Amino acid sequence: MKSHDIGTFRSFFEYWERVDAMKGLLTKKGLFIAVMLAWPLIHYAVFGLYLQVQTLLYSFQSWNPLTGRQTWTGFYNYITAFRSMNSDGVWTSAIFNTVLFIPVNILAVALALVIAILLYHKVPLARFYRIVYFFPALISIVVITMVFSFALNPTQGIVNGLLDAVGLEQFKRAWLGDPQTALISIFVFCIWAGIGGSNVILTGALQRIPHDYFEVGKLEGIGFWKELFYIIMPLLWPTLSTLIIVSTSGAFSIFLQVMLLTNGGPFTSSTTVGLEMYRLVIEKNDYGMASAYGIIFTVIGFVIVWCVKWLTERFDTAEY
Amino acid sequence: MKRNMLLGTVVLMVLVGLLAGCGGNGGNEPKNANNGNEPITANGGNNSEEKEPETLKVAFFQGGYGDSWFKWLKEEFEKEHTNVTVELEGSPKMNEILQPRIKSGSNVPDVAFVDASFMKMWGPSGKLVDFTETYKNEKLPDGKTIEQSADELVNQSMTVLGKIYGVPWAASPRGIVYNVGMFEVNGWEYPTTWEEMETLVGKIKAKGIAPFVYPGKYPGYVQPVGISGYLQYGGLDFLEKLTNTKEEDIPGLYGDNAIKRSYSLIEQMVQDKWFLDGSLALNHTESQMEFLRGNAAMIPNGGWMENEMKDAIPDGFKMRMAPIPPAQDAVVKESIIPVDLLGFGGIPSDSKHIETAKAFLMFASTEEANRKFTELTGSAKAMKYSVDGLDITEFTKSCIEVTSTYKNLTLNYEPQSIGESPGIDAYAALLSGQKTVQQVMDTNVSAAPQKWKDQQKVLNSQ
Repeated sequence: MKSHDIGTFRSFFEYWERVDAMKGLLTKKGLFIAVMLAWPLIHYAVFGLYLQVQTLLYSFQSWNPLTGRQTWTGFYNYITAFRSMNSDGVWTSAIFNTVLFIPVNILAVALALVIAILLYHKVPLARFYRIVYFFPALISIVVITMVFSFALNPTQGIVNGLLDAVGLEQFKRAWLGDPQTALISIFVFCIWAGIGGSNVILTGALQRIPHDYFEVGKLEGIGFWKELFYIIMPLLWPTLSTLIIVSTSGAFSIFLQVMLLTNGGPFTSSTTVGLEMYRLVIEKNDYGMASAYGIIFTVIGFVIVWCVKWLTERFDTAEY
Repeated sequence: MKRNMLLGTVVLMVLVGLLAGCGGNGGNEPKNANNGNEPITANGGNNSEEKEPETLKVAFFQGGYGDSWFKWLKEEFEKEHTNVTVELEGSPKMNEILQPRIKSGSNVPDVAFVDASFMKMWGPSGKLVDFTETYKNEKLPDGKTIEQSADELVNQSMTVLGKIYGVPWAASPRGIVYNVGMFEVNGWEYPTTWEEMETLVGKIKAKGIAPFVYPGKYPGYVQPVGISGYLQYGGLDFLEKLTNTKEEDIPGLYGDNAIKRSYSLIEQMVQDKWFLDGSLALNHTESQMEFLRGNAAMIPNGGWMENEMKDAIPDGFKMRMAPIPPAQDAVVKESIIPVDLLGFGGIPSDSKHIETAKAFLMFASTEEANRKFTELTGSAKAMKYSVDGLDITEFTKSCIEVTSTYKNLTLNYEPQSIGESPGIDAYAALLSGQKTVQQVMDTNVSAAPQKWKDQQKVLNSQ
């Protein structure tokens, strides 16, 4: 407080009483802020920073069965990992499949956008369909993979049953047990289960666009595609680009869907890097190798996500 | 300033307290000061009235054996130890759940019944209490030690680098389970040679039934056919080379005829369509359901299957466990039944009640507890005991019979060995039809030298 402020108080004592009251206020406020900030900070420190540092340290260690302890082995895990990625069919397949999940996830966003637009234009039963599309996002992934798996069951499943009923027996197959269809079936599942979440976000963003734009478009006589590319896409681009970046990075952590639907098989046809890392920890207790792969794919993922981010920033967006 | 610091300290203490509450062991009982001088008795101490109340936390893998045996153990142990309350924690994910808890020493149970592989993981690093002395010298109520009450193969499986870290849990035969009713109706008999098996498969196919079904998502279920073949076509010499490998055995070991012959049996099963169409897409319960529905006559499976499917077994359905028969060119011309030690009960070093935990493990290894395990789960405990007078199913009887009648096989790998297929998941590759036997063997032969080098490097790391 500046010295001339003292003149606004009737006496010197009054001034000190006021300062004391402000201190009290500051302390309570400070306490509140400290408590509010402490929790996320501690959470980040323990579950973010600490785990990441621990993963990095683990990546330079191996488990020695003679001592039962983690021992420092330098870059051994990294050398082994790069050798496996180069020669081991499992990792080659895992990397290839994981990269394929990037366009699949982006396709899910694109489909979610199309559905959001269709529902936005108040097609009959729009609200009902919005709930239907969002349903897979609400239910536990274990339950929906089970439902999907039952549907594709080779002997009892509804898909083969329907093919039978319409006389298309030649297309019947063990969808999740055929190397040619296992991965595609997982892609279909991920799109089906992934549309709902993106759809809700895009619907919310669509509803914030002033309706005048669409009315002007109608008066100009533009069709669906022109409306999509010249009105909706530029206005929704900040939301869309965020979803594209999240979908790209999400490809590197996909494992649960694969594990529950095919367990990575037949052989290695549908495995992913996420699943192989999980196996290293859970089935082989090899924390060192899993951590090394984790660090390697974090770096690769970062580069890919950064490139996608750079690309998304090349497009013009519109302010409204 | 002082006031701020004081308030800051209080806030910090509250937060630390909250965190400790989340990650702590959930109890504030003092650490047991018992230094091991107190005698361990399987039937409980008779001076329990004088002891402080204790809570013994028992965590267990709740898989095919359910939780009924543990509930019985709790009830009986509490009767004999009136100061002890047994707190049970069962989960099908217990193997995964316990790993971080044991590693961090937080929220550690006093007794853990989990997968046997954790003995190797936790034992040498000091995460488990050394149970060797108790295992070899403490007497059970019948006057025998646990070592004397267990089979030689089980004692071998329980030994990790010369020490023992707990008591054996379940042992299960892993062979071929067949539909007895279907066999009886059609006049079929379970074969004693592989050639008879080929004939039988032809007859089953002729009836429009699939000879076998297996869970394609978990190709390891077919492993008994492969490992039995190692003994049948390679003899004990080959098994010794595989489990206690020397540098000079690399890589020739993986090009051995025993492996070629064993894998060719699996390839034959795939190429000649012995498996139900679509098996590759099934998980273990789905494949077991197909077997129970009568869509397949046989299934490679273990002694836990009946208990696992108890709610789905149709009335009157009968099944039996059978061994893997040898072909005419076998070196060991005997049917083989692989037997796996499926779990163990150990005491984490961070347990607060080590002596009570030891008494609990001893109680869990008594003849009474072993018989109860078989009665409640329909499976065999990995110990020698009588099942006379027990109300057990035909399937359980067949599991016991098959392990006592045929040659048992358990693979216990020495630390330097690199496993049966170091370059590729052989069973997944062969069963999916993606690789031929020769391709699998070539992959293993070329991968083995590097794998051996890597393994020895890790063993020599400090």
